Amino acid sequence: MKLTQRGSIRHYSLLQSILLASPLLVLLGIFYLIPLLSLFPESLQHEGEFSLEHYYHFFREPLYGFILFRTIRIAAYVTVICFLMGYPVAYSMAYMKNRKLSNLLMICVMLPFFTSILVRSYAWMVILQTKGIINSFLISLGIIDRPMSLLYNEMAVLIGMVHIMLPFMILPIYTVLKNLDRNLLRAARNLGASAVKAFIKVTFPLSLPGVGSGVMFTFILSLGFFITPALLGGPKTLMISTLIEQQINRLLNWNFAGAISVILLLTTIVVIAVFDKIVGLDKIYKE
Amino acid sequence: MKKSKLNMFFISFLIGFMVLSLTPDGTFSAAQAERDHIVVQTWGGKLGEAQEKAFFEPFTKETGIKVIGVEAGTSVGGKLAAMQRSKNIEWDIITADYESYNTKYYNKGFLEEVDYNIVDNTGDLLPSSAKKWGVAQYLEGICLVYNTNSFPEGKAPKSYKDFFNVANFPGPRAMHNWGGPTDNLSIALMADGLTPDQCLPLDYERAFKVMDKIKPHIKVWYTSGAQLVQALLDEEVVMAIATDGRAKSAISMGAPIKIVWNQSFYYLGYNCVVKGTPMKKEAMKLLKFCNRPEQQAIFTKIIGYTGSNPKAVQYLPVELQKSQSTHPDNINNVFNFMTIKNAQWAVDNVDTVDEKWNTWIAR
Repeated sequence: MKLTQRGSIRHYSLLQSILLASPLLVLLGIFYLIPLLSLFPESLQHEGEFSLEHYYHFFREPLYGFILFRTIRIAAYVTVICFLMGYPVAYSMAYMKNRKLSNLLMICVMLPFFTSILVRSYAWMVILQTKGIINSFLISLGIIDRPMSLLYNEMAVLIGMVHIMLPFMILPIYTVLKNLDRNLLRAARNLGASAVKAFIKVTFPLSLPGVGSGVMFTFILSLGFFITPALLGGPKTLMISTLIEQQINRLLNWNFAGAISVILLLTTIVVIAVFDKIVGLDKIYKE
Repeated sequence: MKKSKLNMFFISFLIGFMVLSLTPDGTFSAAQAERDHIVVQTWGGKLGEAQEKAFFEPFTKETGIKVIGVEAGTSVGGKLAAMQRSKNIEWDIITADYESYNTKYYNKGFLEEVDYNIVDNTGDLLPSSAKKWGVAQYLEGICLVYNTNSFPEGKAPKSYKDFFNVANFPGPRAMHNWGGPTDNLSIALMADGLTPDQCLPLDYERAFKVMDKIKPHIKVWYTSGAQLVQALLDEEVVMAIATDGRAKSAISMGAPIKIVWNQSFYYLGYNCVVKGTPMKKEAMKLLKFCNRPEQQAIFTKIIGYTGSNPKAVQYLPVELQKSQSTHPDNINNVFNFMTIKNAQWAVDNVDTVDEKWNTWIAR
């Protein structure tokens, strides 16, 4: 922790920082931390007594581990696809000479956020269903003669989730790219690096903080996704949040739901820790 | 430099806003200890509309007590539990859940016992309609339907056995995957030769063996009635295990399908009063009102589901009468799934059946 004055940038003392952050901390504490912490004692209750039964049950029944693993796998796919699709968009938005065009791109990225997830998922259902837009189009062109099943499978879930998560990947990368010191790039080119080499050696490594936050946002939010897999997926895309929902709403076993949630939370923390070990998040965020 | 900082602030604000907007349910309600109207949880859509028109509006007209229907989606149990924990009773009545769920709610202390001094008109209702925790309002039938283009007269499937016979009745099929799969597994056992009374307790191994054979041919595992209707309309499947209400609405929308009444059965959907409601007496009066045959007939005309009072059939137009499972011609072909032998087993074992089903279907 550096509390010294350095250059012209002001550094706040710890007390000042806490004071500045206190409204948010209080809000998070009441509406997030307390409910979250109350999950733990809840998950350790079985028929009114302290017991690890719900955790045993999670690991004894093959269903839960299997679904947890699938959830992580789908979240990872979504993250990778979002990165591959989002980076070029962020890059062109940041380096486009035409301001109007790059603003237009920004609007296109933001626009889906003014529509609810439910509506967007239903829109994908309209597009992908048996007599939907894609199938009718392909049939009218004569490319296929029978409608394909595009809905209620993993592909549909991935499409829907990537659509929703893309801005979470694009925006952090864009912000970092936008604020890169262009002189570094000029220096690289000046010293004889090709455009590709300059990108690989200079731009991309410097954009890693943005990539890091984008990946974290996308991955963590994807782990808990509920509506989109439920609407666009089928039995083979059953994810962990659906199991939690079943326990809460239909089977009324809040203790077990608590145990699944705690395990999901711990898994998320472990995955982030592993990610941190490999990529080095703290290194990324260092000035 | 200043501008880009502003930009950064703007973007982080937006991201925060976006994360917040991800919560699916933004409802926030204030505590209400007293009120002058009854709040009824409904399933929304056409069903909710039928409840409004057949029961709530005429009840208000007759008694002056206002009734407000609110849609709860699928989160009835969770919301009930939350209401009891916070002692903030937002609903007075929950409508049309199945026996297994209602029993769970009752055992957890979420439901009032029905006051049969007020609800004194249950004599005409179907057997097992008047429970201590609720009164049956309509029945939801489960039946086999088939596409008449794929299977013309003479080649049509006649029983669940034919649904599982892919060699003689080829083509993709549909089955429900919306929880409570005891019925699906029982259908598999009936196809394997058991009578309804022999199905429970479920022989999982035998049932899943039958299900294994059909699994590659189930193209649509529907999780909502609308999805089933769509699959029938699009002729995406040639056969389905369907709910009778949705099958009837698919037919009325032009789907080329027919219902096989043989082996079909029904569940009762109950209205229950929420524990601790300030409107208990009024809620009981509404429960009584819902048993009237003439009101149930209005309900059936709108949504297609049959009322729990067989006398309601008389109040229906002649062309609708025949398609009701409580019609004298049908009533002996259909059975109540919750009165078969060992039905209590299905109530006691919902969790295990769900878990086994999920394990089987998720792979």
